[in-house]
Amino acid sequence: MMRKWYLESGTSDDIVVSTRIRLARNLMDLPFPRKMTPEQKKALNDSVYGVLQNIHLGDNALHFIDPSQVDDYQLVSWVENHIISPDFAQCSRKETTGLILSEDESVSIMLGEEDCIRIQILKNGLELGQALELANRLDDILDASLSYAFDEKFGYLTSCPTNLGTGLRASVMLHLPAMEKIGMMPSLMNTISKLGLTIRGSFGEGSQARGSLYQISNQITLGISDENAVNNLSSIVGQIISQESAARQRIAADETAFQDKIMRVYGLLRYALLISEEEAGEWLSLLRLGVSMGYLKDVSVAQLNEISAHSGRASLCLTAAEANRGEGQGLSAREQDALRAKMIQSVLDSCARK
Amino acid sequence: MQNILCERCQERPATTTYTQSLNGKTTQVHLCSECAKELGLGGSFGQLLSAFPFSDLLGNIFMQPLTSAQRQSRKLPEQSCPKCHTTIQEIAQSGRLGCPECYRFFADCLSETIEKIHGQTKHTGKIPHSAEEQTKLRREIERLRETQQKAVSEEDFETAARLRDQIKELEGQVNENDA
Ligand SMILES: [Zn+2]
Ligand SMILES: [Zn+2]
Repeated sequence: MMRKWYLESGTSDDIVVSTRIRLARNLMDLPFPRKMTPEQKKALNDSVYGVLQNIHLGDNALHFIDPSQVDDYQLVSWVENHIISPDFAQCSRKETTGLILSEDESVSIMLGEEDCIRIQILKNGLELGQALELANRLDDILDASLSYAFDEKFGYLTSCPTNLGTGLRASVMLHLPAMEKIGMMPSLMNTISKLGLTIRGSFGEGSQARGSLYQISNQITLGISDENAVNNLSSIVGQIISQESAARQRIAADETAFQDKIMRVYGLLRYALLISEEEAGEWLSLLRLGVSMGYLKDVSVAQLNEISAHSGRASLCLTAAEANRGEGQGLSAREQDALRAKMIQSVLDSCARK
Repeated sequence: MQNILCERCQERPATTTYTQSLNGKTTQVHLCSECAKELGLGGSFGQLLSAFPFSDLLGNIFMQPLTSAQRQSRKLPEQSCPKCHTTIQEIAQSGRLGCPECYRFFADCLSETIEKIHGQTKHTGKIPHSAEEQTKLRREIERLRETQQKAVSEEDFETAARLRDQIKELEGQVNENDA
């Protein structure tokens, strides 16, 4: 089995957690999904599946999934890990949708969400160029066989006018605990909004910035080319990375006290018997900081990503259900906390043993 | 939660709070279990998802200026899109169009909103293969026009006339392709 995308190492992954590129596309001869009949939705799935059936992305095989056949925990677990959007999960429980997912889960193509087709590429660390290239490759393959809804003036036509033009949303997830601690976030947010970008919690608009994770995305899609939007984002992210690095040096000025705080959290994560989702988020954020400062040589960023990928409520229940062959439905909050603590412990133990 | 009424049906007591968020507007939405189910958020599935923001639970109101004040002063079309039958009122309420044709049909009402969102109304960047030929032709015509202007200002009327003929020919091609 291919390693999941978040286990690969990425550029600047001490501060940049992940990169995401999303392209919104619709078809000339179909309405947008909100106005589609069930038959049109099936036709959409069939035509996209047909085009991608024989496409090979190296070893990274594409799987064609009918979300209505996927169990609840799996679907929500994909939401927890940004592989599908909350809206797509919601749509999938009330109407026909389609999902194409690569073996490593870095490529996901959602059919029948707000727009007919949403191509999404996830990469570890800061990899905007690579992610855009792959998204464009898939887009070109679809474009060669399908007739996209396009207008010379408005560009790619999307259900919501906010995505008109390129239909491109490029996002970078940043871990900014030091800037947050020093109180630099309000001024950063203010600056960002003046640059045609948005900064939000890790699940986008309306979500909380848990564990000091912030998502920065381009906002304007009309009148700016794909490359320029990505370059613009990339250069701002570069500046934030240096600001965060400087802030980390500042908060670690009293090194012993700072390191003590992180090692205590490491102890908690390794030995606590019950860990809630909130605690896991907060503590892992500190541990991530400790790893980037070089205090915990045994632990890697990939292992922290592995823990994060499995500590959501649905992801935990999914693991339990898989272990018990379908049993273990509906774990109580207490059981979830115990399971989370056990999972974190086993990953950290495996780090220490190496 | 006991005494909060579901915001969708206004009938049954709400059981779960969800977040709706679109275009910078975030609100808490209280739903009863039946409405949640109709929205695809039934049972434990909906409970698990309640931590995440959704863009469309009660319908959105981001183009409100269009529906209220401007509606009187600017006389929005009463008709609906010939292809998908979406009305401008529906677009204003949901913040979403129904089909590609809506953009052409409601172009006059929408251009102001689009410019407000993006600060621009002219696409630059990637184009699909189907539009490639037309876009290239139009960009070539624009280029020739500029050259022609220059030739006129330099009183090089021979070149200007030749360019005029070229432009005419290309425009003919564009019209032919459009038809
Ligand atoms: Zn209700
Ligand atoms: Zn329409």
